[in-house]
Amino acid sequence: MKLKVVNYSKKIKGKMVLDNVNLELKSGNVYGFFGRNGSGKTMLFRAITTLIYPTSGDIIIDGKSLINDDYDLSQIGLLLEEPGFYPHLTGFENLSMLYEINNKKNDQYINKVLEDIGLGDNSRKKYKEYSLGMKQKLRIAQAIMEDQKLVILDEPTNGLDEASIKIVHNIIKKLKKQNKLILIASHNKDDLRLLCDKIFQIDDGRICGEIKL
Amino acid sequence: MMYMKKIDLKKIIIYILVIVIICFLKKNYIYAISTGEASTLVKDILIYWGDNQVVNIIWFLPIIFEIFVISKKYFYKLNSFDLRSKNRKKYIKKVLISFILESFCFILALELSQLFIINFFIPNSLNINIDDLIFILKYVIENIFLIFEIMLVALLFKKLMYSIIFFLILNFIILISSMNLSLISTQIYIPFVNIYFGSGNFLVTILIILIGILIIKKIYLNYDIGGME
Repeated sequence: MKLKVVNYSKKIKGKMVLDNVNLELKSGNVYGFFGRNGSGKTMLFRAITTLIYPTSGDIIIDGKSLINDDYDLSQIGLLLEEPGFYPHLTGFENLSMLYEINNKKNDQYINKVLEDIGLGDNSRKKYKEYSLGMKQKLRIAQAIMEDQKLVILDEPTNGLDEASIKIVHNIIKKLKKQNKLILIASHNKDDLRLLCDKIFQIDDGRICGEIKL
Repeated sequence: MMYMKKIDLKKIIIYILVIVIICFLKKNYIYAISTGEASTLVKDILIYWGDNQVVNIIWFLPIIFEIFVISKKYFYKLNSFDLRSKNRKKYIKKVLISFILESFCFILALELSQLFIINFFIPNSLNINIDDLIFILKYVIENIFLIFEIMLVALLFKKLMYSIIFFLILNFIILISSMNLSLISTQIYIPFVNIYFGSGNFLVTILIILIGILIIKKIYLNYDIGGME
């Protein structure tokens, strides 16, 4: 998979939130985006997933425009906002529900996903009873569970303890080995330093270039 | 099976309780406003607008209730697009079909349960005929239309609460103006309000819903989900 962000700009209420962003990203790599709060990291991920539309520019995956063509977005795994989990359902039921959107059903597989992320013992607990870290793990699980080619993770280790961070790091390394294209935004320099092949600095909606952490 | 799990039992119990309270309040006034004829009782139970504003509000409570339940859910859905739905064109189609079906079932259940609960409070008071059934269906469609309009405006405003308040105030103003001040001709077709006069042509409502679907599709497909960081 080859993802190109071409001259992408986005203006919201007169403010340039993304300013002429150009990127070329290839699968089998982990790309990190580092910047302060409000620098444009999350906005860039919203742009790549067409949750926002550009003022100018385009997003192209394997030669297909995400803006103008009917691109199949289900190939993108996304951890960005709350993915509409039902608080009265268990972690297992919530993942099954999302899995069923495309008429897929495999309880064994869902159990394995939950175990891999470290939620095996709590898979039958209601989502509203989950701790912050458990909720974050379930969000990560939904982003990677369907063998998506492009995985976008915004602050994946937020609220996680050391052991859980290790699990998430291992999952990301495994995804890289499976030749996925992985994008990570984080404040956590360790996350980016340990996982990423390239790290981009973002400031005021502009890519300021590659950095070493 | 999974769809059943989505239903929160606690919510259902609260909804039933709300309906029973509304019916109890309506029951206290139904004799005062009704002519006593069984054929008009169905209409009187669902629709009433008179001089006493407190009584008017009681009759508006179920409408406000369904507006909050349905519009909140679907406005949230439209604002939490899941990438698994492949693209927004497919997603909007799914959401709109689900909105029409669910709001139809919910409003119909709400209207019928009011009729049956009041019939329980006042035994054997109802005698539902074919005209009543047509009236109930028309009323359900008008209510779907009202919620649909609110969602449409909410997508423009990007704020659901403003849109609900805006629409309720607008409908109250039109209703009061057309009934008391004769400012608005009853010849003009005003969906929802017109049903209160009992002469609404619901086919016009269906036509407007279809035009609305086209507009909502156009707005939604170019809509930014998620705001500033």
